[in-house]
Amino acid sequence: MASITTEEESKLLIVLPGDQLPESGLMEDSSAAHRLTLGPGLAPMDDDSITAVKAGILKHNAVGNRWWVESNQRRYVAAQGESIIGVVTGKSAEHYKVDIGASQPALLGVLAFEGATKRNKPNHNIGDLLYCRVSMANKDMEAELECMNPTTGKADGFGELKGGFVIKISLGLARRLLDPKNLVLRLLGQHIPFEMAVGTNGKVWVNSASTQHTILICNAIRNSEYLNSGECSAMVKSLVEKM
Amino acid sequence: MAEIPHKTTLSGKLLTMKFMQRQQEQETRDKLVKEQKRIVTEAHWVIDQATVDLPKPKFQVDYEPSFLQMNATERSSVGRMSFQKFNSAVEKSASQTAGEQQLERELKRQRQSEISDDEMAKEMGRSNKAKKTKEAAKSSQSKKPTTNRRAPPKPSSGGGKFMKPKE
Repeated sequence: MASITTEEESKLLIVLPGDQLPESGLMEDSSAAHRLTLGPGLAPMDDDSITAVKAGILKHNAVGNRWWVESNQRRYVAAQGESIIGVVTGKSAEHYKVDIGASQPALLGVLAFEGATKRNKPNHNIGDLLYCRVSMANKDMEAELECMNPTTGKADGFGELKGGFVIKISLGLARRLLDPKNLVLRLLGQHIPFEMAVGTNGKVWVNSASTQHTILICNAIRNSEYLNSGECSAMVKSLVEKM
Repeated sequence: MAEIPHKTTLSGKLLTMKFMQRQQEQETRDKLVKEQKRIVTEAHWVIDQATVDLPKPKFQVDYEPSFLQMNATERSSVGRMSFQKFNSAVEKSASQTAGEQQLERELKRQRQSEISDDEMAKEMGRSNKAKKTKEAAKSSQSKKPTTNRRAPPKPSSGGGKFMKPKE
């Protein structure tokens, strides 16, 4: 098992599954309580060391002494609090069965919408697109969703997505698109009016005035995965000019 | 005339009366309860502490399965976006959410450096000597034993007392 030496902060620390983290590096910012928050990609092993279980870049956030591995994959694993785009695949008396791209379909309660009561239930059909939030997820049960903000009870952008087009992207790109200052989206927004929703489960919904625009936006998003900012602006420019 | 020997036992009819029965019932109930207790305490098995040696405690680990929570202190994340007024309701709520998240981050940063009123009063109330003795006592206390295994085994430092499972 290789062990990692933490070097300067500016260097990228690439880890492979099986690499152990050095204890001295982990204790740097912790207070006397030695509390550690492990994000995805790290797991403690039987010999009390912390080992990477995913391949990627080791990241660290001093607030709360958080360590995680920034990796990429296409299969989604539901985690609580994330916003996702799902497709209704079944209806029952109490729940909608929603396909979110995880290993199991998720359940969305029929009353988990803004202002829904037993008399006033929203009616969704099989095949509808919903932008929801994961309210509960663990590895033993099907995930549960809700279409509203839990603290305020308002919709806050969740709910049915009408029209538009959905593309499937990798999870890493979806996370980068969630940043409101994302470059490719800002550049596209300067040239084309459109709206979109990003699901952490690797799905992006795009809606614009014409199909040509929608196709252009989807292609731009797909192409931008491995481009840096300079290449990204060049790519968007070339696409927009061709229109 | 010969004296009639007095019977020392109570008559049968007396025994069937309610107030006599109550005493009997109480006694049988006590006996049953005692029997139950005995059965339950005999089922409490305790491992002899000397034979089990648990590893030295290291970190206390919290698990966070979501990537978004990792960087939540630095970046806002807005799910639905709209550009050039395509959907004005979405644009409004998006800027609102981004603003709210930024506000939360700023407040969190502020709160970390502040101290609440109660804590302040406590600090001022304690005299210097009391503070010093309290700190010395705290540091000599043994830390809560933890390991970073997923199912932390709990050693009972109180010499092998049975721990009742939580209901």
